[in-house]
Amino acid sequence: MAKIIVSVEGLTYNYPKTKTPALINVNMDVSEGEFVVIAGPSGGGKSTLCRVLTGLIPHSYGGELRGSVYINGINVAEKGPRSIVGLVGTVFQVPENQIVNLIVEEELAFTLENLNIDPSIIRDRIDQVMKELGIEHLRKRNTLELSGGEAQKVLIASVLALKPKILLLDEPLAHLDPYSAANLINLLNELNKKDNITIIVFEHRLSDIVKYADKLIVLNKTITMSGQPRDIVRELIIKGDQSIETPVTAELSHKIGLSKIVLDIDEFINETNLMRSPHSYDCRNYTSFDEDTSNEDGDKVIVIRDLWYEYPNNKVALRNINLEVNRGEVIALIGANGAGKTTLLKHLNGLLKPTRGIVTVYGHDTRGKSVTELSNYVGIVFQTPLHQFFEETVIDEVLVAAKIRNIPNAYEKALNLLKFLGIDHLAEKSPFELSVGEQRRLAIASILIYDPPILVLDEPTAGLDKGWKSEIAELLNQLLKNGKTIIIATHDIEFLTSLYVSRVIVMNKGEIITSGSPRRVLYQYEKLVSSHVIPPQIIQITRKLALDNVFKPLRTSEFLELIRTARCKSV
Amino acid sequence: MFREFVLDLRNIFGFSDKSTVFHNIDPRIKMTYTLLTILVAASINNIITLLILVALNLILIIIGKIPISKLVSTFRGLLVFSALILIINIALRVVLSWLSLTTVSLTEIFYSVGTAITRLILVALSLIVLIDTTTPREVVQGLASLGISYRYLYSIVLLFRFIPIIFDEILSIYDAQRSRGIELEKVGLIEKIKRLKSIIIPAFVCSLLRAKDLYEALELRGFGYSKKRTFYNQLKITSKDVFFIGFIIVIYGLCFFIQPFIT
Repeated sequence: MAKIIVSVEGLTYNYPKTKTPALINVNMDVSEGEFVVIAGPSGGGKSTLCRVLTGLIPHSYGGELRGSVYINGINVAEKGPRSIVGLVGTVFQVPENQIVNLIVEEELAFTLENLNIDPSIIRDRIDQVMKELGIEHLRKRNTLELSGGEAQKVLIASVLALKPKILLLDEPLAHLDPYSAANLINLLNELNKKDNITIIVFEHRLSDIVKYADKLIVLNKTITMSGQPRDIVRELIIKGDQSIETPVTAELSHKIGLSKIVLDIDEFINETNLMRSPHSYDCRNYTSFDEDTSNEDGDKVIVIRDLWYEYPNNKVALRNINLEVNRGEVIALIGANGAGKTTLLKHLNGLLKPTRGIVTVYGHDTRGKSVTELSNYVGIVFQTPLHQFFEETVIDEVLVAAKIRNIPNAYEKALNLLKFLGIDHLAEKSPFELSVGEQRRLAIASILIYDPPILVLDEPTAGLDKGWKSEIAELLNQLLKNGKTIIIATHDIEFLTSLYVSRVIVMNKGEIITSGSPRRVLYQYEKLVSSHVIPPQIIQITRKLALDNVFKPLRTSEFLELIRTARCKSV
Repeated sequence: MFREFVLDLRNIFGFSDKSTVFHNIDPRIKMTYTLLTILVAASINNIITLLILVALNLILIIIGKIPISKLVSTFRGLLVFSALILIINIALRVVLSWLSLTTVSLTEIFYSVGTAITRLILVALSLIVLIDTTTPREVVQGLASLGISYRYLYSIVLLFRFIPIIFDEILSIYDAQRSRGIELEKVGLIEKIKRLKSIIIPAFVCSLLRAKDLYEALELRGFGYSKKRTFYNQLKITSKDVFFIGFIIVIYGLCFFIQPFIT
């Protein structure tokens, strides 16, 4: 039996000046060398529990804490974060906010220096950890120039340099694109298996990480479930939980009645007997799905010709972009962080003007129009809702754009809009009091108020849990019915499959790599992978089963339908 | 305008991670060099001598391969100050001549304005050398070796690390607000000031959230854990450093002593 390294008993915590506790009677143990994932809805206390384990709560936050928290025998609730520096390495959500120094090497030395460790030992540790994580090429790099994935790795390296026994991560995947996220998850698994570091991850996106976990805990103010990942995921699926994202393979294995819940694609392939050659099925009559919904001859609302964009520092961000958008289309831009998606979006309302080439919106060349004029045609909702809010109430925030445009009956319209978005009960609240999901909808409302025919969204699902995501999807599908043209930039590829996307455009390094109907594009496996895009799980499964030349499902329901009809005709 | 201004400021504050001759000079020596330049600039009144010094520092910058874009940004930033100096100088002299305290000639005005601007450029050049090739942490280490507590000094590092991030964020906020029609540039002054709150409030809120994250990171990483701390690389003054500062002292000294003879 491995030694218990984290022990929480009867933990109840109230933030200062609050009556309802953020955590209620939490009990949990973590053994040395365990890989534990703690999931739960946003607002369920994940960040709070994480801060309790680090000693920041109650040490820096105050409030009232009952129960006990021991890390490696140290009473951390009493002794505070300094009692466990070096023992627990912590990485929080936003990498850029936690990096202190300007040079990667300096960052790696930082904590060791604070602990007064001998310079020659520090230098050895830096070399060692850089080698282990394969980041030697970053040694002298400016930390401001790191990508999200690199920054996350540097942070992890900086805590590993302390040789901690426990690694604690609070939603480490939230700010990474799926490709970097997959890299990080593999790294955590390696650290756990090879160096026997205890890993505790707070995360609601379980899809890729849960297969490595020894234990899965669900936290919603208190621990509602805890145990073997397979068992917990099964329970989540049976309950139809909307807050935690489970692997697609788990849902499939449950629906096709496998004896065990499968958490990993390769295992799924092994478990199913579908591995038999596809020729054993008569698949000629498989159910056909809606094909290309894009209408090539529709009104062209946006036309982009030979667009190049160069930043003032001479970095080329867009190369030879050609694109036509028809009225009523839903276009999805996908690609890794830094592929040029946001730069392209900023050309649609004239925030950026082409270095070369031409962008026209409803026939207007963007170079001759102001952003305000163009914004009447193209409403852009950016990634961070907090970058917009400055009014005292939600309703005032919605009215900002209406006042500038002197829209008649704006107040009634704003109220109706809030009702449509399901946040009318919050009209008199401060935008800063809302949850992330509500803030996202308010940001959308503040654009919809002036009814631009084209709606553009940059990463609309960032930071949202599964429930909020499906509500955003529903909202977008509704807007589409009302005749809007919608353009979405996202790396949340599973989210796309819940929308009626007419065209997917893959970008990499400022170029359009391929485009077409979702079924056509998302099955171009090699092109996606070379653009650092990870195809949806259903597609990976279909491909691994070598069924992709027979049928091309996008959603779980389609896959099941296909399997069912294919089975009927198996020979 | 707003965009370019913020981008310039961001650029000036950046350390460039290339390796040049100056990168390898001891931070204390580089600080001394900047300090000497400021002293010399303040004590010399002769524009020709000042121009010689500007030329000399420009040569240093070219040898040091400091990016030209940084120079451009800095000079664009200095334009505003230069214009201010010009206006204030003229206004002051005109007022003085009204009061018949002094007589004023146009050449005199231009001479004194020219001197002031050259002085400014000289100081700016030496600061560019320091900022561009020294990480703020090295400055901290240099000053800490003189016995100043690192706890106070580290705010310099934080400043340089977070100012560019906050500038980038301000640009994103500016773009987000413009996208819904809040235009800052083509409106009257009063409306402009009113609309500025659409930038200031989100920037303030986001910075507060960052500050909280940063505070937690510092706490968890043992900052302030003990009164003394180590630095992983030791500072050592080498012959290269001595040569550099010796050269500067000789040149600056020469300029200082010959300036009364230059007309």
